[in-house]
Amino acid sequence: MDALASHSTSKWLFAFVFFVSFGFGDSSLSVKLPTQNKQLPTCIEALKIDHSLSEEYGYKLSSILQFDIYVSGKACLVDPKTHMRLVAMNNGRTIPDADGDSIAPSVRIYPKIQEGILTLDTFLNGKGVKAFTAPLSGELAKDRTIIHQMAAKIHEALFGEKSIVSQKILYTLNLKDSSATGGLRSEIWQADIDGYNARRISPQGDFCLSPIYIPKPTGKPDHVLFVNYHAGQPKLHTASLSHPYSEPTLSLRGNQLLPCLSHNKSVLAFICDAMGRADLFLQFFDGTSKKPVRFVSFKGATQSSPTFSPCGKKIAFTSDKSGSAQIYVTDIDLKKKAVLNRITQKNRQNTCPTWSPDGTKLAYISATDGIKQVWVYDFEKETEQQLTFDPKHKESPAWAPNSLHIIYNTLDKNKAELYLLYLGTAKAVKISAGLGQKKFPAWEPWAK
Amino acid sequence: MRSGQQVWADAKVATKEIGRGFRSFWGASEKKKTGQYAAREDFFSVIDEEYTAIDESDISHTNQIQEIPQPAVSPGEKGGSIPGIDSFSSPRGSLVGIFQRVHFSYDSNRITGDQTQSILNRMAAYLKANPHTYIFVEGHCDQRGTGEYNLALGTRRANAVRAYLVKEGVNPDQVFTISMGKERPLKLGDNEAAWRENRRSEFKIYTR
Repeated sequence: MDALASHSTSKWLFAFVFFVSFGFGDSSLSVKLPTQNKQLPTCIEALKIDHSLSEEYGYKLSSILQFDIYVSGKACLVDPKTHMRLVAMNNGRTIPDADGDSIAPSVRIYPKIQEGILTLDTFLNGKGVKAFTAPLSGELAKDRTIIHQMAAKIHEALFGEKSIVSQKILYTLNLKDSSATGGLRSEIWQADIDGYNARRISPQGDFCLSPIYIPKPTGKPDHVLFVNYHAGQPKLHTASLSHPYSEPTLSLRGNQLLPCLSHNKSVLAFICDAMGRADLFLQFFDGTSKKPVRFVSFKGATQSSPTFSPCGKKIAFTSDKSGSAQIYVTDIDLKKKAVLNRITQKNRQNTCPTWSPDGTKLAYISATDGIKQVWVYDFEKETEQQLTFDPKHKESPAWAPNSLHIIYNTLDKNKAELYLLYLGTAKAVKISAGLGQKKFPAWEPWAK
Repeated sequence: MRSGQQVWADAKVATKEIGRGFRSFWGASEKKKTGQYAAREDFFSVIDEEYTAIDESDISHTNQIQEIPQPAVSPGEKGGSIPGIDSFSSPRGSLVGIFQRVHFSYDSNRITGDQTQSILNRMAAYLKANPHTYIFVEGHCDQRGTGEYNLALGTRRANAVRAYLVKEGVNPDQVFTISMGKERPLKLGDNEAAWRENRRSEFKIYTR
């Protein structure tokens, strides 16, 4: 009996060690959050092109389409000849997945350029879905936008939901500049989600960061809000997307930082040291209070990174009032004292919370074994789950409007780049390139 | 009532930071230690109610909670007599020795050490003797925290210096704060030497 028990114990011990070494010792594990969607194997056939545009140009457009289909998340790309799975490399290229297997495509897209018109004939399981067409201009920047729009339409036709590939992103670009104060420029830029068609939004020469879009009642946003150090102290500024000029948003003494706007634009949250602390303030635009409200303040503590629930009735933020940076959620109700519910328990340094547009999750950054990683808190399950595991530090996650993608910036040896991650696969692809650090990304909301 | 996990998390903080450990474990606020200034912010009456404070529980202990409101008008703003940052400059000549950088410990805004206090005392003396000199106090951080958290921490560092100067008798309307977070590092590098240099306050000066 003793021998049997000993043997049995050894078996369980071995199984435990085996599980631990492969389950928790492997730092390259990716954790997929359960989504309701499986990826549809999709292949983009070879482009047929007449002499209206060069083959090289046609190839560039094909690459853009491939990248868009890949990052949408719902489709996995397969090579049209070998049916090997493809993975997107950084900045738009795709290559065969060395570890992948061969998959028969369910979706086939036949691209054709004839007399300057691009046609994407799309088939699902052999049946025609639609032939999407659009005239091309021959200018890559404009045609890139057209490809994004067509890829979005294909996505909607196949999956019955909006695609993020035609959305824009905002970010802060830091560049070395010996003529600038401190030798650094910090500007607000807007780009497509593949990092291209990038242009400066903020006033030339102003040191700016932390941009967010200001939603409109209908249509795409045409104004943004960001922090501008124009006169010295950082203040919240509003700017139009059509001309690089900004003006102060509200009047309150001190530093105004880290703005966040509720989805219906009725409340603006920000961090301000009006009273000598890093306090969380709210500015209401619905008549609740004319003056800004000093909402959360603790002596000796740092509050940062407010983010609203989609309904605008709750707010999450970081505070180190307990001794380490943790994330708290509270109701926004000026009639009673704020009761803070701490939601992060596992790790010590938790910052940059961002609430998913569907309200079910909070993405944030948590120091994990010395590396700042992206984690997700699920409100329904009340669980914290690590999403990224690679060795680069990550910061400032921002949800896409579909609540299935997250954009964040890495920080590695003073380089900062933007990455796009799809929750279904937990795979991230770099979308930024070129000089400078790209940080504080923000996603364009759906046009209403 | 804290959960077991919260108690465990706080216990870990207590273990790692022995000097602050007990205070952090019990959740009590910082108390001043002999020979060491915590980040005290002296309380002044708010001149005009430009905002509404609703989290009164923390600021109700007026004997201990001290804070210094920012000047009503920031430099460069309409209605103000102080120009914007373009009219301020880094210390030059004899002012270099007075407006020296001060440094902070990791994730802290505490003014510690005789050298730091000596620098700030000399600075305070100069500002009191030169009431038409105005300064920006910049709060900077090292690269380890996230950009967002460091922007907020930078305000605490700048305000800690400002509070010290005001406590030493400087007119609060002479001192303005800027948080730069970790956006303007002095030294690039992923090592303790670079981090130490970057955790700092530095000053820009304008004399009317």
